[in-house]
Amino acid sequence: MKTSVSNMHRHIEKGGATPSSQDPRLRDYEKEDMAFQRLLPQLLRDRPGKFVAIRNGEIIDEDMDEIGLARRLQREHRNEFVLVRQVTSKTGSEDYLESPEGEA
Amino acid sequence: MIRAPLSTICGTSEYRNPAPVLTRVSLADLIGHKHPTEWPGIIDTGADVSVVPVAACNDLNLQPYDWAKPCGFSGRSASEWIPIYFICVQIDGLGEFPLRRVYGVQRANLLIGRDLLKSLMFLFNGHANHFELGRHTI
Repeated sequence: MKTSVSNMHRHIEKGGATPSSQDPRLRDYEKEDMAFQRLLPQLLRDRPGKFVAIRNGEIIDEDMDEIGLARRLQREHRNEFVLVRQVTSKTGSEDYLESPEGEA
Repeated sequence: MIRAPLSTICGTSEYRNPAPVLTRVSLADLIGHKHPTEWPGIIDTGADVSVVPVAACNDLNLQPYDWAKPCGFSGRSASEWIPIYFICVQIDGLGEFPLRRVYGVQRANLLIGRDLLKSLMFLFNGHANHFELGRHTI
């Protein structure tokens, strides 16, 4: 999850298209991602390791159990983009799809 | 436990070499709404996380909860941002697997990645042209 943030920032730094130019839903993502970055220092002090759900720049739910949190979001915020991130200082991990089938 | 022959076809994909393909995989949200379609799924130990047809996510009215650019086998990140979902993968004969980080892309089959496989035992027997997938020791 930190990956996406770091990649996005790297992408923007390189002068590439911003995420929102590709899919209108990414505008919500950008907004909530910026909110998460803003909140992160305080979250690291108050809620280390927890998964937080961010909507309209505010934390609307949190849990140590990510699937439990996701179930509540699918019930209560079905039609809204809610960013879910784990509160951690780690950055740089990426998802690898190391087969030709996974090449996007 | 599933024991099935290797296949060179998985949905619309055709492979040069036989692959471990599950013929009946279903998708559902985490609160019990199941998609009526069944897809084939290729077992992909090279995939860190699973990949599902984004059309299924849209049909289930799921919202992504994050976006990212995963790295492909070439070592490069994907050129486009890809939505990430919470979703439940249901494999006929094995049960349900709620997954916490699944990419939704335009495709007609699933990649069953190590996020799901890590809770199973998988045997690829190329010499005998079959594979086995189970919850316990094979």
